[in-house]
Amino acid sequence: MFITGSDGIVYHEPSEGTLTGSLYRTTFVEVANPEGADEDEKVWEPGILYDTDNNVYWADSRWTTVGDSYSDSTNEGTIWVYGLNEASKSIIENDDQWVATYITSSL
Amino acid sequence: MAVPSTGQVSMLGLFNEQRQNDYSSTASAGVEISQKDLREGDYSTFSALNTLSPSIPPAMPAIQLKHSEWYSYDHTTGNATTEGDILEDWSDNTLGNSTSRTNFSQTSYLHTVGIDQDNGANYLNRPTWTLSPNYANPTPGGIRLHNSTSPQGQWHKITGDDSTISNQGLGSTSAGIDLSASPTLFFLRYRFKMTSSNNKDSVLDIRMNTTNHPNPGVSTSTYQLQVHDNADPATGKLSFKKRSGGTTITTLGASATGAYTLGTTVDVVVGRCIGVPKQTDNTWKVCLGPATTPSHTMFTNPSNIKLTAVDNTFTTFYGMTLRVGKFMSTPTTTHYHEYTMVYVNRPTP
Repeated sequence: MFITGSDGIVYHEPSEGTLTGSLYRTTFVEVANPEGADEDEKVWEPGILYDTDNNVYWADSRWTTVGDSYSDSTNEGTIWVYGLNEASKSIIENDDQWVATYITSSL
Repeated sequence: MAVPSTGQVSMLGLFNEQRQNDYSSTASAGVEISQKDLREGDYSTFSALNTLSPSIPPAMPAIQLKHSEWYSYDHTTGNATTEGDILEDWSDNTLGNSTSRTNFSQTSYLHTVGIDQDNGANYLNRPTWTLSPNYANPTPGGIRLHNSTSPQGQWHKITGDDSTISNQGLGSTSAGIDLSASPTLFFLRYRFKMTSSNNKDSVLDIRMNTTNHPNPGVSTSTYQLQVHDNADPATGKLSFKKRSGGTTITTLGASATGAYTLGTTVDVVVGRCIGVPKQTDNTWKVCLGPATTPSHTMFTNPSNIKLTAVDNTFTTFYGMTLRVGKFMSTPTTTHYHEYTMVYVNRPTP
């Protein structure tokens, strides 16, 4: 399923409409000492979903990156986030790592 | 070479078909050959009759068996529904690190349901695995990863990225499986259980693009599927990550919490496609379901799909590593990750 974002770009929604998703641009944040990595490794997680103070995802949401949207140089990427309610959307759009909202769900 | 379908049948040929998969061999048997012992697989130098052969002689009494009833018997062919590029169920009662494994055609490989058919070739050899240090505690018909003090924890890795894969029909040495050709449908499937009392995430490394994966903990050019444990606030969450050069790991997608229920046995299907109608190219999907659900069904059924990720950074598959970090909780008899089947294939899209 393809949807046109507010930036004028047509995006593919990978669940094909079976889930209710919103599309955001976010800065990815560096997480130190994650499980599954070696001691000197760091994992980059989408900042609008990740609570760096407590080292956990604050939102229990399924999400996925838009292919090739993540940039190593800017640490920004575009992600679909599913099953968000209005309160969660508000938290995301007020997050320091939020860059833009391209598509918002009507959940 | 199988037994011919017409004409005379040689007793020595039958013996060598079962001993070395070669009816035409003239190598001496060195023992007296009897129909009964051939039919019942009583010789110490070879295994029992291959019941997956499209043609097998009828059951006893052997004294009444005609030579023509051996026509077309093939000791190595397999059931098409169990053929894959990599097949493993550890049912030959080893951890898989023996240099001599038992072919699937010679064991009772039972995963005939839920496995997709391959492109028609017979790939019946088992892989050879490399094990981490401090490894023990096999479980019949599977492996268990559990507590370890080794720096890299415990891991179970398909070794010899080139030669082993080549043995399993994945092309020439160092070729790997090309996932960029169109159309390609690729499934990596494993049967998995994480006990509800363990405290370490499960990690599957999908090794890509290079044979240089010397260390399970720091290998670059991998995709990584992680199942979050009971100690994680997001218990049962699945994360799909990309490990690029150096120490850079980027999470590409994640499921909701509880996608996997700890303590249960499920089949995990990690699939990727390109050039497949109605599917986005380079989409990875992680699906969970019962053993009876075929991989292609899981790959397209929203109730089985737990996460998706679109990425084309890496294009060639070279093997896999099952691993867990050090210091899992104990005792090891009740705190572990169990794997009882691994299967890789490329069905026709």
